[in-house]
Amino acid sequence: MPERTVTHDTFTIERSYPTTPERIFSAFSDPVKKRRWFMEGPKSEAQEFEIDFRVGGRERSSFRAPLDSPIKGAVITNDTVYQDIVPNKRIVLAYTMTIADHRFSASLATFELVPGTGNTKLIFTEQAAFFEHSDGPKIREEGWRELLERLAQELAN
Amino acid sequence: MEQKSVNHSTFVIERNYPTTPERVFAAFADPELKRYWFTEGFNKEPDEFQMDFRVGGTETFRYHYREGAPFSGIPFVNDGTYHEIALNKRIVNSSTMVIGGNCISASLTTFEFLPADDGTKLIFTFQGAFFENSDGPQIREMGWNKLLDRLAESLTQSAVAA
Repeated sequence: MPERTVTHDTFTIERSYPTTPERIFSAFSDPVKKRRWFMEGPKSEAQEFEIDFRVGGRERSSFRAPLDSPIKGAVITNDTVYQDIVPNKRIVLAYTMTIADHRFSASLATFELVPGTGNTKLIFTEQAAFFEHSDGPKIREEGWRELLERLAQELAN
Repeated sequence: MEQKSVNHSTFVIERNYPTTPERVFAAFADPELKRYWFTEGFNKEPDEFQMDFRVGGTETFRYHYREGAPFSGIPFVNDGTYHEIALNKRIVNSSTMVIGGNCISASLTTFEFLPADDGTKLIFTFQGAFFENSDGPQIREMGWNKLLDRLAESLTQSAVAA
């Protein structure tokens, strides 16, 4: 029996931001804002970013990893298809990650916004399938924690 | 605080089919073969089925239930995208289910085809997000079990025909 080539995993990250669901939602729906927190990290160089924020719409973003990273300047691409959008409440998308020409994961990602008193809880859930030579769930979760911290900075501005 | 509105769930179904991975894979890749086991039966009346089997390609299935069956008269729409295809080895796609204009779920489904001594082992993994007023994971799992039974029947029939 040959070995399986797919590893499935689910993880959840919860954050609380001191702002409204509307402002958080707009950091996803507004291409300028989304690009700022999602693409313009301190280490990686953004290559392309296209977003069509509607159900069935696609998003493609790619960046070049730093030369001193383990993947030495490789280009990583995220291809997204928006599955469900409820304004100010939730966004569900499916995305794949590709390095050079090798696709290494496909995921379903859910962002839920729950209003509180003076803040909003964001519940992020990733349900992922990792293929050969992938980052795996731990690195993926770290990556999303960094991104959601960058979102906090975006919202603070 | 409002209640969480999404219920996430994962389930796995394993099946053994007494045929080659190539033939099982073809039942997903060939629109006519897939149409038979995926869209017909179980009181469904297909209104539209089209699939573009390549990475990034979409699949749309519109149907309703026959008069007299539960949910008759309500339009059902499954809109999907193929995310990963490895020939005779695996397929990963996502899809939403929209009932009467309301999206009730989004899911990622992985089909792994593993050669076994007596044929092919299919490992099906469903990772879903269920929204308000949805069927939920138990009914969905029952639905997929029925579909995979029908796939088994279709593989037997076409073996006889061949």
